Amino acid sequence: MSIIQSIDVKKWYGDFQALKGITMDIGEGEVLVICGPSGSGKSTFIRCINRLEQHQDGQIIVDGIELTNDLKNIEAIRSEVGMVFQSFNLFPHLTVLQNITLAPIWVRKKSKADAEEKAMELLERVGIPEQAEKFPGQLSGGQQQRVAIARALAMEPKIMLFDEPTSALDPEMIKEVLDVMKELAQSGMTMIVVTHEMGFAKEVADRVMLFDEGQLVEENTPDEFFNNPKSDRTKLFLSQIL
Amino acid sequence: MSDNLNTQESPPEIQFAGVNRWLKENLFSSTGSSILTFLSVGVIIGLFRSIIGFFISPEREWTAITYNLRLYMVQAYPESDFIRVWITIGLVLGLLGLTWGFNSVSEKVSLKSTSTTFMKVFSSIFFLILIAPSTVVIDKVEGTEAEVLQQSLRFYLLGIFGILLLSSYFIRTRLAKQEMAKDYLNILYVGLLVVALWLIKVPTVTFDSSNVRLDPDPYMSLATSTKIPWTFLYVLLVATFFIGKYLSSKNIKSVKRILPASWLLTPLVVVTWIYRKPDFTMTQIATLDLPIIIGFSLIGYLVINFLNSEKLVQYQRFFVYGSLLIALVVFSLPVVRQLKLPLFMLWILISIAPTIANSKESARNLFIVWTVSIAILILLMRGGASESLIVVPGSSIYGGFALTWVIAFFGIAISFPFGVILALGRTSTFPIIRIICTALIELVRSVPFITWLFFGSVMLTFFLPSGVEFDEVVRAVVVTSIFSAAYLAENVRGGLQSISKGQFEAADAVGLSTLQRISLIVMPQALRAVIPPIVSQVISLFKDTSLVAIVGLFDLLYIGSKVIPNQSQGANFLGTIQENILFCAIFYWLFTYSFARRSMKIEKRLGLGER
Repeated sequence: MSIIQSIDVKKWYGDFQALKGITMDIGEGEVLVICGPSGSGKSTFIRCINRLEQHQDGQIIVDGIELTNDLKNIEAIRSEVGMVFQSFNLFPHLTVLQNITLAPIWVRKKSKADAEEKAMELLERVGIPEQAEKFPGQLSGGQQQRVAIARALAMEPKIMLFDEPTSALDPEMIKEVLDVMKELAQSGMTMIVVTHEMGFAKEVADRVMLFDEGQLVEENTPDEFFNNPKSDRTKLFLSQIL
Repeated sequence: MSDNLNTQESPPEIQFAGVNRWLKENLFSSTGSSILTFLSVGVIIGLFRSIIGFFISPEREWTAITYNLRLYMVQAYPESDFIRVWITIGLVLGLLGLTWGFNSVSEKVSLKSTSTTFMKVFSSIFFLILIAPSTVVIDKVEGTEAEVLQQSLRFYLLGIFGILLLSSYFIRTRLAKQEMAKDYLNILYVGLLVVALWLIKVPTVTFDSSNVRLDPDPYMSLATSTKIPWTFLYVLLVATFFIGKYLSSKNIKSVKRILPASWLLTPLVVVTWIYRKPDFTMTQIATLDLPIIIGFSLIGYLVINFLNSEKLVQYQRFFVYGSLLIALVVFSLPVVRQLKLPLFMLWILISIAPTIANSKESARNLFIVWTVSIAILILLMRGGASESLIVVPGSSIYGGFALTWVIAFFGIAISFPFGVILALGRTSTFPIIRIICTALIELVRSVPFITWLFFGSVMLTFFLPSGVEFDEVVRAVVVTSIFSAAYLAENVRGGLQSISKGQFEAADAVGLSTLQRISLIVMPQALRAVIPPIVSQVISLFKDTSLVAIVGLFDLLYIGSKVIPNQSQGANFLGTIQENILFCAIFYWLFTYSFARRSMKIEKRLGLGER
């Protein structure tokens, strides 16, 4: 059963066409890795899924609800879809704990005590419970990204979107974030990950896709994708990054 | 043995290399810097000598200030009503003490830093006494000189401050490791101020029984008629501080909510209690107001507890529209005023109750808030409608520093929310709101403040429905707030633009609504970023209040520059403009500088969560 359906999605920035008709189905519990050169539209596409960007043509259906201009639908979908950004985007004026409990308290109307209990559980899961009272500015990049993951998970989403989660990190810190993501994938979460971490793709992904110039060039299992790609564009891409 | 185990190595103390070396390194490092040092020391000493000479010259009539202190503070406010001013100040100070005690964090300061501050102050005074001139020229043509500081007095003062300096040095070296709670230190400081009111004697003017000025001027204590109330208020402040501390130690949660609410209410109380002396008649309150309050309280209870029940909540829409309709109809009918506004509040309550009162605790809180605000609203309406018993000579009840303070305080308090709303409106995506806000800001900014004051005083009546008229002070406050709101809006907009797009996206991605995004994520960061410009704007607003003199209000500066220098009856202070202007300058400086210091501390504290 597919949880996200995208049918011929198109998007323009001015005259420039960023998405040239993307059609795909993502099943529940599936881990999908999207890669591609910069400017290929991969980030734009996953940002369309929770309406941070607005698609201009085609249909996106998330968990049975179609994304339209209806604010109610958008808010409903956003609370089911968690997102992790390349630049973390933690709220710098709130402590780690407040960052995580903010949305559950204000959107899910949980009590403060419940939200904090859940937040501590999540911090335990991402491995930094001792940093709860610190401010984001006092943490390392890897720790900040793990807090960002905990913040997204606190809303108990059905789908998690990762927009290049490790691109802004030092090499040593990439592993700690990827470990958290692997654990999450094994727990059965539906995940769409835009990344250049091919090791992660090989190990965890159920499917790997390659975007180029706003089009879906290749869609394959990780094995096939890396060892026996269908298109020449994929071969070129792999030869450049591996 | 056990001592050794626990000792932690302390950082090496920076050794003071000696006066000679410090002088050589900092002041005489080269020929050029030596020349500069000598030159600037000469200039500084010369400058200070003439300034001190100006202050202590026998030509200066400082009695013009001491005699007129009351005029400076409250202008013509009737003396028989002073007790109400004192009670109000007492109320505010009591609340201040409670808040201070309740939020007190047991922060310690070392005696070393405190005594260093004292050493700085004492050594500056010592230096000033040392260089003060003993004679000043009082007639430039003839070159006549007058002795202003006897050598014996100079040595006496030098001796006193020398001893004070030495004793603070002694504390600094011997008791450097001692610590003191910061709160107690502050209580001590304020206490010293109160003691100074009793001890410091200044020359003033008195009259004998036939109203002839007594000469020479006798010396009296600084606050002759107000030292007893001030002392009493000091005791009150300290007492409420300890009560607040006690409440905080008992961990009573409701205080946390009551305190901010009381602060919100104080301006209203201050204005109604000082500005008016409402002629309350108890029978009216008992027969009309009390039943209305109880009735609305009961209706509120029913709404809060039963509107979100399964059966009724689906008809909520009809209740909302129905109550609005009733409120509108009643508003246009000739019924008692007390019914009109509460019905609109009931409409708001019906709209929000099912969403807010979703648990037993929040329902109880909402009920308390509802009842208290209805009671306050109705009592305020009763106070506003009844006759004021206060009689004031002249056009306005406020004058002097009281006027300056009222315009500055309400100007800031009103302009703040408006400025924030204007800033949000100007950055809004709705074209109509954006255009209106931009136009308003640009219009207000491009016309001088004085022009707006005239506009408020002369032309505002044309734009109001007939019969509606405001007091001159209210008009000045309105104009000041609008003017300041426009500038504040631009400052806040600067802060809004400094928030990265990622913050908006992150707020959206976790599902916050637009209002939540603005109030929880964007505004706290934007305001933090623009504290320095906002503080300088508040300071300039405080000083700009002196411009209201132009529409005929007697503010602090106007009294100093025009009123007192023209007093020729009784005590003759004709032409004492220098003294008065200097006093006003120092007075303004004291307030603005202490405000700037306070804001620096706030900035430091908020800096914790910075990126």
